[in-house]
Amino acid sequence: MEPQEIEDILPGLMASGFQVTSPESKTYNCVAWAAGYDNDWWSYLPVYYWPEWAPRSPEAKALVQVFVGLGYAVCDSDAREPGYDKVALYALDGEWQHAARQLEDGQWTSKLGPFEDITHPSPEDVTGGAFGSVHCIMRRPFHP
Amino acid sequence: MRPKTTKAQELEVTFDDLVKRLNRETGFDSVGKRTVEHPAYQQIIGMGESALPLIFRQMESNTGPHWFVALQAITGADPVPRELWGKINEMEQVWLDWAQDQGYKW
Repeated sequence: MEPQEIEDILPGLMASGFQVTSPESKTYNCVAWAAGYDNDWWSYLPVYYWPEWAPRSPEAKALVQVFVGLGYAVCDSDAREPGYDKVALYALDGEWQHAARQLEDGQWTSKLGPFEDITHPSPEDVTGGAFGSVHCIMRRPFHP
Repeated sequence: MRPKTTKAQELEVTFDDLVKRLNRETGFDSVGKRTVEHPAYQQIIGMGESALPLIFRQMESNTGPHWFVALQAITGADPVPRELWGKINEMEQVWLDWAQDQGYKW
């Protein structure tokens, strides 16, 4: 997908200086990618992987439970904190839509549905479109 | 005068238009819900068995959206074991093997 097309869908990226960092792939999605995997599609629909410790539900709190099960807890800040991994979870009308993961340099990486991965400076850069708004930021002690 | 087209060709054109519309209008759907609930996806399900060769062709060429929900709805079958849920390439291969076993051509 062309950068212009990405910006059309997520207009918040326009001024962010985002970068495309992978080819398109329909074999993994944002939740898997935020959890550290690039070989599964994680969703509550009953054809996809969903961790057994979380309810198969569209509710944002179900996605929070997914990351609680991976050792994350809700925190206040999206700033880089040495020693911690962070993820940002997004929701629209109470239903989860997206997840992004912080990189070591403080930027964030997002898998865009069945398209590419991008890096963007802030979790807010991908809000305002289909992903809705940031529901919460979560962190866990660094997990190599 | 418009060239004559076969019913199969017309179906293929309709299918391709619906898939393009689906890709354009479902954006970055990570959940899968916007895709399967989209009118274009539902219209493809409504095509019934005649859509299957076109779906299997897309699957084999690794293009297009995830067709698992449509295949279940059209065929009534569910050949993918739960332990493969989410493993997209493996799930597609299971469906293609199933289609061959059932005698579908594409």
